[in-house]
Amino acid sequence: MNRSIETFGILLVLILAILYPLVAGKFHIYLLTEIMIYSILGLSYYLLLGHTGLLSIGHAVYFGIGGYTTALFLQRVPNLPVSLTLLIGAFSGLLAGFLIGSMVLRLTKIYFSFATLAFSQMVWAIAWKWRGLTGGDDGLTGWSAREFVVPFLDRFSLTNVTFLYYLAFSITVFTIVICWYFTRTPLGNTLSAVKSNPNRVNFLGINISVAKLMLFGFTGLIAGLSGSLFILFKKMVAPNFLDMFMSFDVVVMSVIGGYSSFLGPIIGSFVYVYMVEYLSSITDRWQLIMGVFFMLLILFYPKGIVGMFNQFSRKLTFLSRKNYL
Amino acid sequence: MESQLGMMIPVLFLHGLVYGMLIFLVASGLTLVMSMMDILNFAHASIYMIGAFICYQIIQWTNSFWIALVVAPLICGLLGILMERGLIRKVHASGHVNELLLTFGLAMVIMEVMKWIYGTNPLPVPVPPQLTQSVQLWSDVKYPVYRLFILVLSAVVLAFMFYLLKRTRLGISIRACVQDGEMAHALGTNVSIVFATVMGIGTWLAGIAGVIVAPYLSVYPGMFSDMILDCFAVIAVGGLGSLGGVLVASLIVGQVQSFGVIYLPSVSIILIYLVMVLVFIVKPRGLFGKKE
Amino acid sequence: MTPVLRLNGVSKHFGGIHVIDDVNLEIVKGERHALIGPNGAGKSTLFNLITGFYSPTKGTIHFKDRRIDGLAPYRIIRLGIARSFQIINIFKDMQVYDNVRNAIVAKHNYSLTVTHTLASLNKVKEETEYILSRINLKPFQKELAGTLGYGQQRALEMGLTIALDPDLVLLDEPGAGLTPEETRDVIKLIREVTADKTLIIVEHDMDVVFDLADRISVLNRGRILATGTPEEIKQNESVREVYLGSLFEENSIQDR
Repeated sequence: MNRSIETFGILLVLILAILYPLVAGKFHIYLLTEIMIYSILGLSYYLLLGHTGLLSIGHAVYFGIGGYTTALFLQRVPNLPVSLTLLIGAFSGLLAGFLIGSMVLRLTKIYFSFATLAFSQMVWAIAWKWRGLTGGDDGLTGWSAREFVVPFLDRFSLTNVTFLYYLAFSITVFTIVICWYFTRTPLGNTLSAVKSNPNRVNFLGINISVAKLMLFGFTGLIAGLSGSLFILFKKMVAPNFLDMFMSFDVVVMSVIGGYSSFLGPIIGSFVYVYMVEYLSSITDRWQLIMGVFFMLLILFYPKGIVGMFNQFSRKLTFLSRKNYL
Repeated sequence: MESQLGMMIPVLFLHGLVYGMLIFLVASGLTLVMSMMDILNFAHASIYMIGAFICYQIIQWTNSFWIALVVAPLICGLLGILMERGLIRKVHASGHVNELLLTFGLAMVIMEVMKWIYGTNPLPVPVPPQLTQSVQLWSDVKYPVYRLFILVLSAVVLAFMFYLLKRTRLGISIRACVQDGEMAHALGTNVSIVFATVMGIGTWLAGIAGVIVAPYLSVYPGMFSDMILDCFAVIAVGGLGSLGGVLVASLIVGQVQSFGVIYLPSVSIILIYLVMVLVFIVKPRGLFGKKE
Repeated sequence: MTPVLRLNGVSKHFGGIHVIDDVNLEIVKGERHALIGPNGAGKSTLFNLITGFYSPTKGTIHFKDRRIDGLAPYRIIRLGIARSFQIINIFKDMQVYDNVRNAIVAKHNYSLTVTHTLASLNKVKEETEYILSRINLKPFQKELAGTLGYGQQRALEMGLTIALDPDLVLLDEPGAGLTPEETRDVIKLIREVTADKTLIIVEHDMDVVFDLADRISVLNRGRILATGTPEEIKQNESVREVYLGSLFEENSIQDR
């Protein structure tokens, strides 16, 4: 029974998402595209924090590195198809994941968290200073005129809002599938076990460091992919794409949705983007409000929307049992 | 040019000392709290920043740096205790992750509040009139008296801390709690009061740092982020829970920043991270970190 | 026949404290060896040393003629040693089934693979169910391990160890906190699953020890007082001194 409701729900969402651009205005299509890209980023963060229990607070660094790499290739290798630059950006995230992971994973808990921030700040500092490569605080632009070639189909301008929507949509669906698959593999399961009892995992004969490093590479890949997609979408890249405030935003989105749940980041991005959109239109102090909102969530609803929903459905089940006993 | 640089080295060294001591003032409180309570208080450096802003405000009202120097750190100490009692306790039960997230959020909120009240432009705070001159150190090297004042004040505070920790009962309790909180509790120490005290003292120190840095570096809402990273670098290099280690590391970091800005300007920003990376690789627990 | 496990001059110092001091021990293949001694004698530390959680300050440890001191725990486990823990060390927020499955997957060295989903690995499924039935936890397989009763958690603790199918099994007080019936069941289970393996067991319950052990080593203050057959140990003067004779009374269970 539950299974078919789930499947029906998923299909419904998919169909609605596919039909959305036919009924929605450009602005909302734009918004939803942004939401989807953030969902990809959020999913990669879920694998780190929700699934494996690794509290990274510098996750935006992979997002930014993916974005900058794609931007650089777009600018400097003009004959390269845009789709390929996307892949290269994603791959740069993978490399960054391995590199940073190899250094931060040897540290424990608090140190680990802080080291993730430190490395992301280091990269941010480099992005800021190295004007020759990254454009400094002006960032990089210049690919809005490019076209994205979809094999077997047409070429689409990067200014085509609807195209970007469907591009983001297909990549998001793809990401959800491979992340879901990842959690079902032995490696995914091992990482859950690490979250539950890392000491015992060690004594089962499993090399935890390698497992975590593989995770870092994978999440770096996904985050890098979302970053690359993002800069295609925004037509620019700047150092603030990988600063601590961006990392904080990732955390906020995850907490809103429920950071221990697979669906959390997706729901969280949706709520976050619309909240920011609404709040920023009525006040300049929206960042303050979001910050306070975040703190209240942590204090009173740390399990986020998914947590609230679970609580609610448990109460329903309990009540219905009482009635029919 | 050569001789000029040669002259500069002692000056740079003094700069490094000043900056190092400033970091130590903030980081010392943080490392004690971190190792005792096992939480990473992101907002610790925010209190440092609040200290600087309160200093600015008090000077606006009273025109007296000295009043600010006394009052602002006290307010900061109080804020620290409030923070610990009010927020951190509440979230302690829901786990480390939530604790860290909460303090992270708090730091962001505090920054936004400062932005709201004071805007994003750096606020100038004048050096107190008694300390505006420069002093002749040797040959033709002049050094601002104010910076020497910072050194002297930090040294006094340091001595006070040392006395507190090594010679008083409270100090012994603190050290016991740092070593092994459960054991200290079992032996009758009121751990909860010790926590609050350490928090209060730590933030009081951060407040002092905030006040004395205000004329030196200027006051703006982003200043906490530089400090928190320097603090972390210093704690990572020196070792969690080791005040001596943090002191040594602060002095090292201070010199690295000072000389780095002059000799390796383009790389100076990431110099400190490179030092950290080195330490991570060679001694993940810091130079003087606790074993096991 | 070369001994399966050899400890030569093994010492472990923490600062000035010699937790383990010059321990020499040889365990023969197929042997059931009991490690007894007062609390704080260093028995768990010895297990930690053998499994790589600690590195010896002095001395060497050989497993099947291969030097293992200084290796990381996961390496040593891979070579064929498994241990259970005195304080229950299971995956409390995972289902019982998943707990055992973690060990089975680890045994097969699949833990880091991504080529198949876990659910599709049939051999893993079969072996997990086999272990579950051996430790009598099949009816509870869907429960979260943390919600199980103490005796069942102990059984799961043992299950995680034997699921690895090791050559050398280290059991750290497997009977701790169990009722006499439960203890009898545990002994029976231990006999069965270690039939073709080498076993070192730390225990305080002397009935269990004398029932199971081929040889016994007595540890006191980090040193081995004596090693020998149960009879030899019973007669040993220094052992009697340490335990003041109370050890060998009928039905004695040493105070904790």
